[in-house]
Parts: sequence; structure tokens; C-alpha cells
Amino acid sequence: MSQTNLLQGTLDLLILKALAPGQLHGLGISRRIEQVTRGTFVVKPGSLFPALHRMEEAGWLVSSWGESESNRRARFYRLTAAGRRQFETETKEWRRISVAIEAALDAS
Amino acid sequence: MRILHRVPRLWRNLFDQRRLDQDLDDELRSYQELLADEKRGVADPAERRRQAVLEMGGIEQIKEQVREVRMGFSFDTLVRDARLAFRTLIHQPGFSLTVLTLLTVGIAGTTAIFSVYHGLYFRPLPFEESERLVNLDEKAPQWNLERTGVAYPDFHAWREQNQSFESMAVVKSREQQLSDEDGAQTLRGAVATYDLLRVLRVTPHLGRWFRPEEDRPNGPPVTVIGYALWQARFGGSPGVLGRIIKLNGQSREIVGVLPPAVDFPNRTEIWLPLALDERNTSGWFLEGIARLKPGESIARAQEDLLRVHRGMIESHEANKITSPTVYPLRDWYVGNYRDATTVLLGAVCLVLLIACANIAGIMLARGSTRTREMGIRAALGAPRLRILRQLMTESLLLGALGGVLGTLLGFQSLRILLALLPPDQLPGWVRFDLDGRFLLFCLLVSIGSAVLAGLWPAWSASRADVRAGLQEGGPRASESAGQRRSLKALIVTEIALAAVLLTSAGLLIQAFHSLQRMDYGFRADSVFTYQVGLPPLKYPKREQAAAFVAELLTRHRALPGVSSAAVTSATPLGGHSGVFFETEHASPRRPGDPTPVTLLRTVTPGYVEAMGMELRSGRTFTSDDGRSPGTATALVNETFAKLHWPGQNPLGKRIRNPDGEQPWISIVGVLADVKDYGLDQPVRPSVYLPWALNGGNFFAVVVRTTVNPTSLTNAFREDLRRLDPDLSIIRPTTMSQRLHESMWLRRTYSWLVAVFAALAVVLVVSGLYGVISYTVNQRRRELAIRAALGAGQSRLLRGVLLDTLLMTGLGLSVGLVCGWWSSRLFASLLIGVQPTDPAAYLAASAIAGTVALAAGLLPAIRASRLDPVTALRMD
Repeated sequence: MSQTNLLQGTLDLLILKALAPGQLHGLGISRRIEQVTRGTFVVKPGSLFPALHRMEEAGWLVSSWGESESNRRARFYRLTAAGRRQFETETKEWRRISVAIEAALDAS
Repeated sequence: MRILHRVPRLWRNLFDQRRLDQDLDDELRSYQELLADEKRGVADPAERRRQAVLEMGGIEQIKEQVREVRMGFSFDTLVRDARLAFRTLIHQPGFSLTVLTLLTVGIAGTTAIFSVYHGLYFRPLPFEESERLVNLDEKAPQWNLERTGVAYPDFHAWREQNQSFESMAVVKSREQQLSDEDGAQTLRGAVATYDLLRVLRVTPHLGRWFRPEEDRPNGPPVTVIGYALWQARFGGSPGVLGRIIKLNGQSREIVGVLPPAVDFPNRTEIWLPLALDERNTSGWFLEGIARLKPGESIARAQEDLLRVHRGMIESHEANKITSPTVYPLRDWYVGNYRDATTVLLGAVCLVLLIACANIAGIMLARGSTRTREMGIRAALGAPRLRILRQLMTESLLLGALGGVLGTLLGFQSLRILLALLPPDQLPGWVRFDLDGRFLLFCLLVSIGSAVLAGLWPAWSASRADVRAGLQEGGPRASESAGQRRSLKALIVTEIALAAVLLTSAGLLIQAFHSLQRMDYGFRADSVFTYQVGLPPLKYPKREQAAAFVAELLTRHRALPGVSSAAVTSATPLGGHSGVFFETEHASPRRPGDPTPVTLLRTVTPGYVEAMGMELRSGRTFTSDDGRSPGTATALVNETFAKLHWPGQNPLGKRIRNPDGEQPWISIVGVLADVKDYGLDQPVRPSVYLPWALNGGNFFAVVVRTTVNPTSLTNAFREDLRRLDPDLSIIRPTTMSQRLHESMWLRRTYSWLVAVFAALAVVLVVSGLYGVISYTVNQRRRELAIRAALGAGQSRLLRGVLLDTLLMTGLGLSVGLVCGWWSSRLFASLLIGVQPTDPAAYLAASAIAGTVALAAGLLPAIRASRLDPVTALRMD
């Protein structure tokens, strides 16, 4: 899926979902999203990093330096309490929208 | 909570950029390494890294994208753009200085005039809730009077029975001769009712204001002095309360001192109670001031007063004809400046527009020399908006700087201008100082101008074709042609705007001169005049005053250099004194026909000669006129005669006081009309009565001299002093000086518009010169080749001449039409000249045409003289 078609809001939701179980570094987030969307969304760093920094400035994520599995220095992100609340809100909103669109498409 | 979180982040974003960038860089490199690690299938680490790099995309671009979403990014860009703009401008001093000068000049003029407008019409008056303060007056259209003044019985009824006003008071200016142990002094005085301070919501600085019992006829003699007088004459000492001083011969006790803000109505220095009885006072001569109740409108208040006013008709018949009027207080003070100020505002806006057009032209021309720079930027990936924004930042920087300089220059110029005007023409509360709101306005105007001037050039520069910018030799010919058209359009606009200014200035100056040249009914040269007030307490009987006048005139006539002397109740431009007369055998008037009020002057024999007035028929007064009841005679002016006896001979007709109790007075002479109210004001019907019949204690002395009038000032003063040492000469001046002063407003604004027009011409000339130079320069190479191939120089000159003629012709045509159209906007100021008077338009065309041609030809001639080889080599 090309970068420009992925809406900003959707990307936020996917990032929050990816971090729900625990902290990840940038590449890890990208891979997790790829995994849970079964390959539909491959997030390039050009979209990922602006989103991560934006969400960090909004207070939904915090980041810190740490060590990856391969003992490389990497920056890890995890959800804050506000981030979890935002995740719930956005999930509800997304479900509401998708139901509505489904209904619209099913209508004759 | 979110705010607390964001502030430190914003701070870090703005001020700790290096560490943030370093962190981001580290993070991205770590991402790259992790990505490389993933590629387990590839053996070579360098190959893994290369693939990772390819997959990732450019690190620099990612960093830029992250920066864009950071908080404070726009501000950061602004700062960055500003720094770059500043450096660019410093490196192009010629351009920057030129634009700065243009902006400064344009903004200076605008600031000066807007500051006048602001000071007169926007600044609140120095009284609490001053929007609720109004001026009360009466009007009587039937008598041809828009402002008659307030009658005291009317005021009394209004005050008692109104429902729309919180409080009201009346005042009247009355000169006071102060004398105490420190000497005599003439003061600007006023009488007022006891509730004046309540209306103004002002408390005295010391002591108190008048009490109601002091505001009655023969009430306790008290006075209140103004702050300035207190400081100047009484040393600002609190012991002034209770002091006794003599005003117009009567002793009064000082009971209060007012604060500085109250120099109401017109730089009044000392106050006395009005002390009138409403059952016993007739005539309309007071000025009313009142405070509306909160939420009350002027229209409703006027109707309310009208109700009370008409309710008095039974006892006051004149109330059928008069009606109350309510005006905002400000209008009373400065209403007569509105037209002039508006004209000046319009003129200065035009100058500013021309300056902006010049700046736009310069920027357009300069923009083409930066196409290479713009091309490179575009190639490096800068979005067009970014380039546009960066160019605009340059304009904004110049705008801000020009704004500051222009505002300062504007204020200084205004200060100088004000110093040149006659003093005391403006009310004391008018200040033209800087204040916060106005400064903000000036800043907005300057930034607005910079944006206006710079937007189009910046937009067209940012549109630069990348390829064209990068190739040698500059942009393609078609682009240059388009740019030349734009420049020409700008010049045509400038010429049109300048033409509007020139025609307006021409018309206004014509009006001014025609007024100066007009026949005002008397000869003002070599006439000295001054006023005298005989204190009623010292000269209670009419015969005493008359004897004084006779003796004074005799002494004056004996002086060498005096050809004639006389006394009058008031000179031309000396005020209004309105009465009505019953006329015998006049053409019948229907009820409801206008009965214009008549101006009454009382004069001694010899007045007509002293003033140099013209006798149309009959004779002037002799010393016998008015001495005994049977010898009462009158002189009238032509307007009076035409009004009452059109087509007939007025000599021998009789007039008398409408109350019917006075004897009839015969008209013995008709005088030419005199412009009593001002050169640009209409004339009223006038009657002149002999001094022996009607002379009083306050008068003006008029002396015609064969030498310079002011050289005899001391002689006159001495004559007066010898007759009565307590008296002093009030307002000595010459009639020509008085005429000159009466025209100060018109003179000022007419010449200011001319100055603006001259400024506009200078701007247009420099703009035209610049544009022609530039376009000739651009085609230099082409023309040099032609010249080298043998084509004549005259070709070039002809081409430029044609161009210039076309631009000038087009600009002038549009400009003259617009000039005519805009002259209708200030038609009220154009007295004695038609808006279509050809002289102004011809002069404008001649001036604009000549300078435009010169400005256009000069660069062409210079370029044509250039050796073609040199020209080709210069590239």
C-alpha cells in the first residue's frame, strides 16, 4: 500500500495498537503493523517517524533509548496513560465509522 | 495537563535544536542498522547496508519531514527565513535602501495625516464616558439659521422636564478683564450654570464649583479659575481660595480651581456663574452641553426635548419656529475639519499606493535577476510556497523597518506642521501623540503596504521555471516581455494616480486663490482694529460710553498717519448679532416663508470710509443721525434690500423693531455686501444703525492709516490709557491679518495636497526612469547587435519615445477622468471653481506629460550613446 494513501488517523490507530502489548522501537512498530494487518500496511520510515514524533508531542507516547534484541542501541516507544485512553477512543470511533460505511455500501 | 506537557517541549524544539537533530539522526541510523540486520540472506555487510539505505529512502528527507510536524515549526521557519532575508537585504544595499526610502516616505505621510484624523475624531474626549456627552443647540430654518444658540427659558424648561438626559448645563464665552494688585490682564472667560461639572463628571482640583444659589441674578459674586491660570498668576498656591479679584470691574471671590483637562469650551481660563433669570431673559445666545442617560440615543433625546420645547409655545411664540438640536460633542469642536481631513486622507493614500507600485516595480525587475537562485532552490526540492514565503519575508522585513522609520518621520513632520499653524485653533484636549492603538495601526499599514507591493513580484518569481533559471543567459524572451508588460502596467497606474492628485491639488488651489481674489466688500489694507470693553459698573449710562467713544476717536484722528477712525459693534469676521426687523411696504410674505435673520451692526459716522466699504446709493451716516428720536436712520446692504423690496428703490423705506413700540427708522443708504462671516460663507441681510442711537459698552475700534498700521499700536494704546488706565487693548490686529487668519484651514489643506501631488510626481518620475532604464538595458544586447549591423540610433529613441508617450497618454486619460470623478467627493470645498474647470486638468497634463517624457527619454538617450562594442562586451 503506498504511503500517501494511508490516512494519518489510521496510522495513529495502528501505531497505538502495535504498542498496546508493550514497548517497541521504530522498526519493530513497522514490522508489528505489517504483521497484524497481514501485510496490507507496510509503513515506511518517511511516514512512521513523523507520526511517532507527533504522537509523542501530543503526549500519547514516551520514548527512551534502550537496547534491541541484537544489542543495538535503539529508541523505544511505549504508550502513556493518555495514549491508552486515546487508543480506546479511536478504536470506538473507527468501529463506528466502518459500520456506517458498511451500511451505506449494503444499501440498495 | 496537556499544556504543561507541551511548553517544555516547545522550548526544546525552538532552542535545543542541535540536540534534537542529533537524537533524530541517531535514531534514524539505528533504524538503518536494524533494517540491515534483518537482511539475513545477504552475506556482505556493506551490501546489507546498501539495501537498507535504498529501502529506507533519504535520511535527510525523513529528518525534514519529522521537523515539519514538530511544534513551533512554523515559527522556527519564520525565524530562519527572517535571518536569511536580513542577510540577503544587507547584501543588496542599493535595492534595500531604495525600497526602504520609498516605504518610509509613503508611511510618513500616511502616519501624519492618519494621526490628525485619529487625534480629532477617534481619541476619546478627556471626560468620563465621553460618548454620552452632547452639544445642545437650537435651529430655525425659517430664519436661515442652523444654529441659533440656546435661549435661557428654553434651557430651563428642558432641564426640568426632560426624560433622556442625566444632566445638562449651558455656557457662554465672555471675556474678562482681570485686575488686582498684580496688574491687569485680559482673560478668556466663560459663564456657566451650576451643574456644568456634574455633566462633565469632573471634580475641582481645589475648592468647589458654583452652588445653585450663586447661579441667580445678583447672587454672591464668586469665580472659579482654571489650572493654567492658577499656576501662572497665583503660583499654584492653595491660598488662592478666598482671594478677591476684580473682573470687569466687579470684585469676586475665588472659590475653586479646576483640573487641567477642563479648558472647555475653548481654552477658557476663568469661570463665572451664568446668573440669569428664566422669566426675564430673552434672546438665543447660549451653548448647551448635556449627558445622555445610558442607552439613550441622540434621535430620541432630540424628540424628547422637542416635546418640552413645543409645550412652551403658549408663553414663548418663537418656539414654533425654533427647535432643539442635539449633536455629539465632538462635532461641535472639530466638525468643521472633517472635510479637509478626509481630502488629506485620500491624497496621502494615493501617495502610498504610488510608493507601493514603485516598490512592486523594483521587486519585479529584481526578481528576474534572481531566477537562477530560485531555480536552484526549486531543484533542491523547496516547495513553491516555501519560496514564496521566503520572498515575502524580505518584503515584511522591509515593511517593518520602513514602518518604524516612516512612523517616526511622520510624527516629526506633523509636529513641525502644527508649529507652523496659527495657535489656539484646535481645542485644548486635542493631542496628536502616539498611543498604543495607533502605533499598531501604523504597523499594520506598513506591513500591509509591503505585502501589497511584494506579493505579485514574489508570486511571479516563485513561479520560475527550474530549467530556465539554471540555464545560461537568463529567462526566455517571452518571459521578459511579460514582465515588461507588467512593469508598464504599473507605470500607467502610477501616472493615473499622480494625475488624480495633480488635478485635485490644482482645483483646491484654484478655489483658494479665487477666494482670496474675490471682492469681500471692504478694503482690508492698512486698517488697524482692536476691541475695547467698558466695564458696565464704571460706565453705567449710555451717554458716558458714547462720550468715551467720541473722545477716543478724536484723539486717534489727531495722530499722524491716521486718515480715518470709527467704532463699530463688531468688524467683519467679528461675530454674529442677529435681530429681526419689521419692514414697511415690503413684498408680502406668506406665513411659513423663510424670514432670514438680519445681522445688526452699530457704527459711528466715518465707519464706511474707514473700512473702505462701497456705497451703492444714498448716503452714509453723519454726526446728526440718531441724536434725537426723529433723526433715527439706517443703512442696509444689498441683500437686505433685495430681500424685502426686490426691484424697488429701498431709500426712504422704513424699518423698525418688531415689537412695534419703537419709532420707524428710515433707510438712507445702501451698502455693497460684505463677507461678514468669512470669504467662503454666505452673506446675510444686514442693517447698520448709528452709534448715537444704539451704541453700547463693548466695541471695536477701526482705524485706516496711511502708514503701516502696526507701527501705530503703541500710540493707540497710549490714547486709550490716557482716557482710562484700567482699560487695555484687546486683540489688536489688522484687517488683512484677520482675513489671512480666517483662511488658515483652507490654505493649509490646499497646499498640503499640492505637496502630496509634487511628491507623487517625484515618485512617478523615478519609477518611470527606473522602468525605462531597465527595459532598455534588457534589450541592450539585441539593440547593440542591430547597431553594429548598421541600424540607426534613432530607431531606439523612437521606440522608447513611443512607449513613453503611450504609457503617459494612457495613464493621463485614466487619471484625468478619475480626477474629475473624485473631485465630486470634495465638491463642497470647491468654492468659486467648477469641478470641470479646465485649468487644473491642463496644468496636470502639462506637468505629468513633461516630466514623464523627460524621465523616459533620458535613459534612452544614454543607452543610445553607448558604443555597441562596449555594450556587447558588458554581458
